[in-house]
Amino acid sequence: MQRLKIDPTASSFFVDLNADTGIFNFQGESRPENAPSFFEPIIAWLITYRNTIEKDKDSHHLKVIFKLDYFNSTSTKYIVDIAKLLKSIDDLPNVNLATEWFYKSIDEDIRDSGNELIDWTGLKIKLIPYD
Amino acid sequence: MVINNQYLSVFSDRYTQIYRESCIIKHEEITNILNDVKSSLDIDFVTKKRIYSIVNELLENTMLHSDHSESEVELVILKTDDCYRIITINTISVDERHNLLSYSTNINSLSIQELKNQYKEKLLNGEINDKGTIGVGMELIRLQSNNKILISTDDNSNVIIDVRLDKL
Repeated sequence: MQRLKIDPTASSFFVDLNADTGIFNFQGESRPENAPSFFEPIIAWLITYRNTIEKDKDSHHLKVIFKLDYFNSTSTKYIVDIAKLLKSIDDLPNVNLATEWFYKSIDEDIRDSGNELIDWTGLKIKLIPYD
Repeated sequence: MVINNQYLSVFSDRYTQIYRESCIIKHEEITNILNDVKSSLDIDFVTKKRIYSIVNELLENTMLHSDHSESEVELVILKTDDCYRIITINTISVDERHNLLSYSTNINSLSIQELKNQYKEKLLNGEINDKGTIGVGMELIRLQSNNKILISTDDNSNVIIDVRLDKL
């Protein structure tokens, strides 16, 4: 499946979804001018990926990294949708998915957002502070 | 743009103005102001981050409700010993003013727990609207500030949104 890589801008984060390595990366700040056009390809890629691996019998070990500095309210909606999709992928019997949520140790709002994602979606997330 | 000194004069005795800027309501201009806020405010990380978030949600809100493409917005940040005030002033159509006042009245009428429930419900089950947003900006501002959002209008068709953020 083709890799989805989006370079960061002043208002949108770095995205790298790599089916070959099984590493999905989201890093930076998110307040894109047009949130649907930015996020819908990401959502579509994850849906296609889930549908693809659902059909095969291989084991998939996946790692998801969120290292976000800031995201606006509409981006929060899409991040929740991404987390719900990741949960549905993790629920597949042939998938082992580890999600890491990095936050600056003094940034309690980003930490709390990680906890909300766990509560709201059921996705298992490891919260990792950094200095 | 008419700078609304009358509204700000109410605070002049007790508050110090720490930021003031006006711009055309465009995404690039909002980016410039956010960068400016980030680099110029000499305050603790958590408070600055919340001010940054409130400024962004307020300015994005003005984009949604502005009355024409070349509308201007003025942003003022005031400081006193116990709080900050983040204030935006921009012109708005009568219809949008009605929508904004109705929306904020709902937000202000809810308890914090009711607000959290509404915020969560919209994020989990809401749909992106025709403006490309989920429409929880005001909920987020009230949750982050833990204060009611003050909205007023003046004789020049300006709408003034005033958010109080208590110091940590």
